[in-house]
Amino acid sequence: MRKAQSEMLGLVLIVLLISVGILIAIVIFSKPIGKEVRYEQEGFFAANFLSTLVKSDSDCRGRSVGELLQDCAETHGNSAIVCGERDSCGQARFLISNLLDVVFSERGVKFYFTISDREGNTPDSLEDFVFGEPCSGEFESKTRPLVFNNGVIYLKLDICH
Amino acid sequence: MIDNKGFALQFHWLFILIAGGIILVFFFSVAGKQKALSDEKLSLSLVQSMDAIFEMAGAGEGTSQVIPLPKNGLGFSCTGTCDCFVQSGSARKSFGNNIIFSEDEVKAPEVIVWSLPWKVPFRVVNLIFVSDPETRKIFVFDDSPFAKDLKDKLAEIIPDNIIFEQMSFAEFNSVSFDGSDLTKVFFVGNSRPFIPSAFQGKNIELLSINPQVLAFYDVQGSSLVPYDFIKYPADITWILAAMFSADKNMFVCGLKSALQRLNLVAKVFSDRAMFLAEKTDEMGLECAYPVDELDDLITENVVGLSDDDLFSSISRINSVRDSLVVRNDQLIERSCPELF
Amino acid sequence: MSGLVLSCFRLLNTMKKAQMRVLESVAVLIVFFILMVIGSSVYFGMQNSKLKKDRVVFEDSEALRALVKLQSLPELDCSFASAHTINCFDLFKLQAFSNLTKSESAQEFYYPLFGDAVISVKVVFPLERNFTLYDVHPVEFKSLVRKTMPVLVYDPVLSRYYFGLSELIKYA
Repeated sequence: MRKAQSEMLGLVLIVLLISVGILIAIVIFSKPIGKEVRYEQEGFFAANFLSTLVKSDSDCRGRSVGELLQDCAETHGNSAIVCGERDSCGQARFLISNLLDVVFSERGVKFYFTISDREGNTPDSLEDFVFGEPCSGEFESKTRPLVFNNGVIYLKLDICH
Repeated sequence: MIDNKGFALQFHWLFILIAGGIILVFFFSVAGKQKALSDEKLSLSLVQSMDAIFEMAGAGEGTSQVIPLPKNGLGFSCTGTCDCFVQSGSARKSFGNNIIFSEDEVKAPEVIVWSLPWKVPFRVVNLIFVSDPETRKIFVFDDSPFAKDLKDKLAEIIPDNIIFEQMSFAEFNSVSFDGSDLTKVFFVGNSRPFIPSAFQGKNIELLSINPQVLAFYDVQGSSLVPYDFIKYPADITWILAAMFSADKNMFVCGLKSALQRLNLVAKVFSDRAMFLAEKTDEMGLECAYPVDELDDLITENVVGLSDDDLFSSISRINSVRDSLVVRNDQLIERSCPELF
Repeated sequence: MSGLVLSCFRLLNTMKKAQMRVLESVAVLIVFFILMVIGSSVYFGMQNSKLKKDRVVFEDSEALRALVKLQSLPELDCSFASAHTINCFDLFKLQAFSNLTKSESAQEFYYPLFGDAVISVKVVFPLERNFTLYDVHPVEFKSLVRKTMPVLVYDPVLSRYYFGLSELIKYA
């Protein structure tokens, strides 16, 4: 009887161990769905936004937003272009801020937009072009260069996860 | 008297055999089902991937890409009611909005997918041509001006990775068979097609292209039997479509799908021309937009069209196309917003 | 008499031993099959869970693919004098297309391309206009995926590119 009891005990132990193992496996495999695909699409979205932004009209003397930014960077904020009550820097800032609000803020998406030069520093005239908050966790980032006479500036958009 | 211990022992072994047998049968059936499921999954996955490739080819313009295929290969076919589909194993998917011209079966390890826009003169749709690199393709040209003109146009338009041999009638007469599973021969010009002795009894498909008619031939023994033909306006796009098609059915179905697509695109362009006319009128610009001509591109009841009606539709469209090019140039000269 | 009883007892003992052996074997088999059932249900449960994940990823990619396909349609794209601007819709084509797809025959034609979906383009700046390009939505659905993409909207009369947003809601 003792032998039979110990054998049954052994079997029960095996069943228990396997059950615990399966439970652990279930927990490990229950990851959130499609994270990597979503992050890749966020990168694509950011690139698309920047590309569309620079080409779109600024409602200022037939210039695009990209052209206003180029003028702002070239003239160091002393632009001769007048867009109603604003100059090129003011109009570009106004538009970028509004578009970021419409596309991201109103949809509850956190972002961080900056402009920098090749060394990663912000040019003087473009210091005000910082929108959103730096991402605390992981984020997808895309950069778009914009060439002007004296060099190149980089528009950077981070979309926070 | 039976020995109880021996009896128990035999019964024990019998029990083991039966239980073990049941377990083995269970595992074998699971494995078998998994294999069948896996094969079906692979076929479905292949058909889905090809669908995505055809869609992307349809979206791009003038692209030619080499796509690897697994050993199942792909089948393309169109029924009499233009229900066209691509098949691999038991998995099958309709062409959908894609217009595809291909051989009926492609088993090569790689296949070339080439997209060519059909323009009237604005782009209507990208036609997708599927080429099996293991199929030998031979052009046989006679001395007619039509053949010479087509030879030049084909050389310009066909991408480098789709290989066509070019021969005169005399050269084709003495050509040798290279062991290909399928040989497609395209006779261009007014001369009568024939099968050289080297190709007697081999798997060969023939298409005759002359300025008025495309004729599809069947090879029966050593003789050629035309089994289908269609009148067409001598348009390089549709010549290529016929060349890549498995049969006349696929060609006609592709042509009808393109016309259906044109109906929608032409309607959009016609309405756009109307809006442009209104806006430019308001601004005091004298821009004459050819709204009626754009409406002439539309063909009613495409599905029920006969071969003769198809021919006259394409002829009409080609002449409207030429007129639209002139009208568009006039608009550009006058600094009016262009049509296309 | 005592010999008979003794032999009966011996037979009984023997029978009990044999029964116990059989019971043991049966118990092993029962436990084995229980383990198999647990293993199978976990395996198929995991397969099911993987399928669900794959479906979500697939639906997401399909929605994005539909948006990309939309941009390549000659009915909407910005193709002029042989130059082609990517990621761009013509303003008047948007207007014409949204009128066109109100008809059932046009919806039937575009259904293999877009499926059960609602597609719209909103011009954000400096104009503010909204075009519903395609609207075939089912009464009941299990799930939906929403995708947005910035696009340029070209005004051919003023030769300007406006900032727009294309939105696709795909139903499953």
